[in-house]
Amino acid sequence: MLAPALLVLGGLFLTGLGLSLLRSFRYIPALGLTDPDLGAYAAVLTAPGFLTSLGLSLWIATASTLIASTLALGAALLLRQTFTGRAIISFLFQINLTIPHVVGAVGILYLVSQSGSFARLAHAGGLIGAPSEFPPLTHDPFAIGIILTYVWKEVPFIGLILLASLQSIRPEHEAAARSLGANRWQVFRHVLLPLLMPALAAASALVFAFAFGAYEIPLILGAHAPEALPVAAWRSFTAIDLATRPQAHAMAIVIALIGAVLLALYARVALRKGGRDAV
Amino acid sequence: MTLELHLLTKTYPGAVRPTVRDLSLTVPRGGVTALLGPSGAGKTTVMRMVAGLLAPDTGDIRLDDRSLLPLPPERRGVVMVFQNAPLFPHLTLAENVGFGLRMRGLPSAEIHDRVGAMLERVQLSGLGSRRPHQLSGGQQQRGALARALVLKPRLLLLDEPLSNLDAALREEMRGLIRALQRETGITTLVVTHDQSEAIVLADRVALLLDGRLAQEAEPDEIFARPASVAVARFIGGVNFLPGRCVQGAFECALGRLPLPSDASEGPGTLTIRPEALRLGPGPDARVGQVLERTFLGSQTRLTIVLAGQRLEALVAPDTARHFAPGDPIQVSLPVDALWVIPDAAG
Amino acid sequence: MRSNHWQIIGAALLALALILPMVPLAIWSLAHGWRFPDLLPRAWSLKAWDYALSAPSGVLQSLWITIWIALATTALAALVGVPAGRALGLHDFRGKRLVLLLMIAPALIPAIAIAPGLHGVFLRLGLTGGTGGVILAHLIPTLPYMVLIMAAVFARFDTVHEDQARSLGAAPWQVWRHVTLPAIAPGLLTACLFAFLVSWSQYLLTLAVGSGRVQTLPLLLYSFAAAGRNDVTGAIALIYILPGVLVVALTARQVTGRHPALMAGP
Repeated sequence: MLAPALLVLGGLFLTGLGLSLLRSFRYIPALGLTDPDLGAYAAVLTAPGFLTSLGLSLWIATASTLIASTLALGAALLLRQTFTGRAIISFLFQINLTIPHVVGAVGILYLVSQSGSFARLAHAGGLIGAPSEFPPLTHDPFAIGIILTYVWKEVPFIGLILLASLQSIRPEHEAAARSLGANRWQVFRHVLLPLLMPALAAASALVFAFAFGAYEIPLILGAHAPEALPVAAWRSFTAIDLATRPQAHAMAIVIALIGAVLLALYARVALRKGGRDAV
Repeated sequence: MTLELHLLTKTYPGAVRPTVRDLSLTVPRGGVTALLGPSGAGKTTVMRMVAGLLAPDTGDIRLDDRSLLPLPPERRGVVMVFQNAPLFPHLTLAENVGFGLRMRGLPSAEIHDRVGAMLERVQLSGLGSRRPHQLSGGQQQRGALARALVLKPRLLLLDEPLSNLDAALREEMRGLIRALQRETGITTLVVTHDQSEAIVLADRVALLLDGRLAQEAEPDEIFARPASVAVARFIGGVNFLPGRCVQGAFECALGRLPLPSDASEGPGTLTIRPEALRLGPGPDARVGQVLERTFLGSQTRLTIVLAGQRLEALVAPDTARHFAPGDPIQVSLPVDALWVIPDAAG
Repeated sequence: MRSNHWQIIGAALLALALILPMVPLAIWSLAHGWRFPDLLPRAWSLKAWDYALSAPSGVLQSLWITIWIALATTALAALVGVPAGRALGLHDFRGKRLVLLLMIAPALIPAIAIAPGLHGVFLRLGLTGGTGGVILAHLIPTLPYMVLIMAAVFARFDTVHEDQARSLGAAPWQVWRHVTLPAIAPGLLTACLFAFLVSWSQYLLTLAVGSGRVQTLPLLLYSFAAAGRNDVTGAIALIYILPGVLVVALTARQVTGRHPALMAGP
């Protein structure tokens, strides 16, 4: 029963990676390259832009994941309680889940760019006189707009996973902790948070991987220099000069390696029980 | 329909020993046989093989002299009611009972009529539109039985039919199963680990130990004349005396004990059920000593040492009150309660 | 009472933040020019919508292609993923962790890492530049969600129901149709929704394998945004999010947080 799925994933995913691996060692018979070497990796790692791009993408992923998971934790704890408007937020969370990232990115662009809605509000409030006086939040070196997009998109994602996880936590644990003398903060810190940790870690790993590797969001909101790594990698792959192709493949392999580290972490957290409830 | 199992053997992949070994058994037409045994003895495996959900490694399963093995489960005319046989949760009670008829493509008017009649028979009329979760445990169990019987199967397989019910419901369900079985005359095989359940439900009991048929007989026969020490132990036997049968008497540590006339000669093990021991003065009484007294509720167990042999007696608490540990006690072993298991039987 | 007050304020801010990025898109789609520093357009117009819905813009054509690709991807993912989910959910076997790891890998190893290699493989197979190749490529990010959700669904499925149905006279396909499918239907619906959404949102793999000839909505949206056509971009964005909103509105009850496998792609 597993065979078709293994065939599809193995056939597409692994052969894709495998081909990149071959090419990254500069093995391209069609171009007359038949002696594998590490030249492409050397070129990539010594190129000035690469490490900056890598650093930028790691910054984007780290900042987005930390902010989004913190806010999502708060939102999940808030949504867990019954109050007016709870249903509306849950509904909006689910709606948000369906909105493609590219739409979010354009929405954020129109909201926070120097001529965007916030800049207009600042102008109306007399804070700025011209668009250029508004702080650059898009195409900026700190990738604020990109991070904003991920936070906007991933808070509902992590939040819904945490809510599902919260529902499986028995209320007796909290009651027991309270009766043992823990205050509300201590109950959260020592009971709820540890119980939520596997779900939070798994969701965070998915978010980190996505924020690190997505292409279209930095394409829309990112600066030209430094470029986020996925944008740099794809640009290098589609460059007219075929000689840089091995470098593009080498970048893909570097990205895959970082993904593999995440996969290993995810496996430790989410597949620890190794059994039927792996999801 | 007569069910015959012929030398069935099944070993699960990766298992060291076969779960079922060389099992041969006949369930006579219209009869009820209980497949009794401790958990893990292979009872359910036998059921699943008969139902067609599991293929035996070797052997044959025949219903009225035709092998069932080539037939898929849905064409065997054999219906199995599973333990925890849950009704399908997404269907109403009536849809559940009509499930098999619908699978056979019967017209809905006929399904409706037969389901209605069946529900009435199991006293579930008026509940047909309820979902399983809206029914009590007993109602669900009756529904599961109705779902099988409405198909008028050639052979009915019941897997631990009473195991999930409380005492009162067990009594009710037991009566219903017996009554329905007599009315329909459907040949029935019941799996159970509970000897009292086997006795009340079945005409014959087949005791399965360790994948093998240990004894097959009428219920009282198994109790009175266990075929082996293992059988005797399973049905609650505790008193075993090694010895030898010579000319209608048993020679053992207690001396020569006269036996019923049908005892076979040779080495064997004498057994007597703990409730058959007689305490107090009597013509053949021997004197022993009380070792231990354990109050069990409706009965009291006395552990007695007689000529160096430990024996256990179950007596009414009133009787037991007269005997304290250390007291001498007179014990008789009634001739008609003695049974010798020949050593060849293990 | 006071804590309830703060809850409502917090929730209101959250709701505002969730809706906010969609507001300028909606305004742009109805604006007849909207210059800085105007807070709202001076004139309103439906011309962006007229254009977006007209043949020359290619928006509707893109919409159909995107829907077709997402539906086909979902169907294929279900066909391949449901049996795999069943195997993983019901059975323990040697190498199961490895299989799970491979299934999860595409969710954690970014598409950009496989896009160049996949492009090369598909080029050889003649699969670039067509919807067929794009659908196959979309299977990579969709299958993990399909398989993992179905594994969770099957882990809670008791196969005794299937045996019972079989014994009551149901043929294998009848068991599937009348017992298994109804039991897994809610989970399968959730899995299909996520598979659809993952394909629906896909950008880079479409670009890499479609070679620019398969213009799905996100690609078209980007080209209008890059060209500075903010009004048309707004209209396309709204058209693009509409199906998802509709589906959630219609199935809100099935996809509540109650489902343990709530795991659409981030």
